[in-house]
Amino acid sequence: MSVEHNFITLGIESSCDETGIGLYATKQGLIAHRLFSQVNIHAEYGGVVPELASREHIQRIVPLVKMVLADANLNLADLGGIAYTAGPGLAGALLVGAAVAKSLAWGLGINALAVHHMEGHLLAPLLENLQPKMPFVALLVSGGHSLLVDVRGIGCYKILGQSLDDAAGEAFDKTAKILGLGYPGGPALAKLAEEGDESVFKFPRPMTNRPGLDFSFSGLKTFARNTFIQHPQKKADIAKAFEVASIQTLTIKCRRALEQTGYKTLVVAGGVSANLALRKRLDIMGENLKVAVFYPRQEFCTDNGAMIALVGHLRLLQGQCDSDNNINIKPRWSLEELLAV
Amino acid sequence: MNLLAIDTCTEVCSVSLSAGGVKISRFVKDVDKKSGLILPLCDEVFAKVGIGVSELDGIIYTRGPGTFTGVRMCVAVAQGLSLASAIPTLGFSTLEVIGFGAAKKYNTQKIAVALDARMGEVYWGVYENAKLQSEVLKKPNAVTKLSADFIGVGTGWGVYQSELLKQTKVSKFKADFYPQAQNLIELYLRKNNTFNNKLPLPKYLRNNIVQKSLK
Ligand SMILES: Nc1ncnc2c1ncn2[C@@H]1O[C@H](COP(=O)(O)OP(=O)(O)OP(=O)(O)O)[C@@H](O)[C@H]1O
Ligand SMILES: [Mg+2]
Repeated sequence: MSVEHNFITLGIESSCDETGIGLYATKQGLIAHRLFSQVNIHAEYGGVVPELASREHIQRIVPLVKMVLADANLNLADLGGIAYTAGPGLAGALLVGAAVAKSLAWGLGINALAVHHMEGHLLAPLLENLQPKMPFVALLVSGGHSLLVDVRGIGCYKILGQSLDDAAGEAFDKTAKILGLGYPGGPALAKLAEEGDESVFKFPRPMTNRPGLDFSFSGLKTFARNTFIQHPQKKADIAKAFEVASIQTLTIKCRRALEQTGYKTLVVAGGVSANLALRKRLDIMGENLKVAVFYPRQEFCTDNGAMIALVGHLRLLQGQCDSDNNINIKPRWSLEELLAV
Repeated sequence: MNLLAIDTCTEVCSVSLSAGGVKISRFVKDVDKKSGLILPLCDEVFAKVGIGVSELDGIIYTRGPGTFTGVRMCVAVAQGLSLASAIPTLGFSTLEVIGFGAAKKYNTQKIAVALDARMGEVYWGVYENAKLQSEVLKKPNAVTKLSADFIGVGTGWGVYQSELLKQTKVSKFKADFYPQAQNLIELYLRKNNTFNNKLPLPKYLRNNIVQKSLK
């Protein structure tokens, strides 16, 4: 590919309850992105309703693609390739994005590429000006995953540790639900925790006093429930105690992973990385260990199309693309199965 | 007129391309993940006919009812192909294209379409006098009472045979009867249909879908 040629990748994200579209170009980097969040649609059910999510995606994707192209003053003919989230995620939701992406790419005669949603989260910090250098340790904490990953290069991922039960975001959401904070609970719980007193309750730090990099969060949620039953007026203090315990657990494991690998860079991504108290703790740890810590900007912590456009772009430029025109999704898909770039 | 028709709303996947007097169709049944095959089938028919997507005058698709996944696959592909070259589209009911196909095949004006909708229900359509008269989600024992001169078609007649026979008084049926993309093209050409530039969207019929996710 000539240096003059400005390759432009369209990214389509539809793995869960956000429709995200992004445009990434070789010359300018991220040039436009838009998100339609279905949070309000699912809120009344207290969680994501998969069928409702699919029904929303099919109404939103094409209008958002048109808007993003208009934002960037581009036409479909300017696209070099189309990247779409093929997994992991909700099958019905993934299928809509994959079907639109593949048929659009086929109609335009350009390549399509299946992107791993968690690789999107993992590489989201590369959307910023100041970028982490590989190798690094990545802490991926989202609604469906809690992973510590050894990142040696793009596509070279080794999972160092993961949650044995609830994901970190899931634990935030469930604890928020116990406290009656509504949906989605993570941000609401974090907000309430600001008013809480850390010294009132002491929650356990699951799995920190034995070696290893795996997590467990369901015990914290149960602890929160039991504490709440005994002290129903102390919501803020419980929120604080839960948040402090989760954050400390995550921090301890990050430190271990950094020590184990000897890497001097930590990347934190996924919805929970939006949590400011977590960022503060990890920044302090980073200073102590002389480790540089990177996060995506707030809006790219949670699901978005920009990160999918970015990952697709990096891979498409290396000549990777879907090998056939079948519309396939991978609702279960390990980060370790990806091709190296 | 260059017309493409696609259907993946039920257990089968079919495409049909008509251009300059040539019509090439593909129909695939009993294949795993058959709907994922729609683009390879498009590849085949476009290669045979020798035109490109941008040369289409319109895309005809089934818009449901059917399996949720199949319906969205079909509509999403219609969306993607239409978007690629700003091709206008028109959606037809799955029940209508089945009814039309059966009326033609059995040379009758009276077809009762029942698609298995799971959960003890059928997608029910009465196709009479070249028109889909109704399109509803019903329990088999609550569908329209008909007469013995109707012919039943669709998977619902296999699954709920006794209930449907009893309720409708229909005596003949063929459960193994599916939508076919080539019939979509005929259906389009038969009437004064016009394509539009609206976003293709599904019609589900089943809307009581809320179940909490286990996530
Ligand atoms: N400030 C915050 N503090 C704690 N948790 C938060 C905060 N903001 C968002 N979250 C949590 O982040 C999660 C959403 O993140 P994200 O969108 O990345 O997850 P997901 O896409 O649902 O899951 P996955 O990416 O694993 O498939 C939710 O669980 C939410 O509660
Ligand atoms: Mg996510």
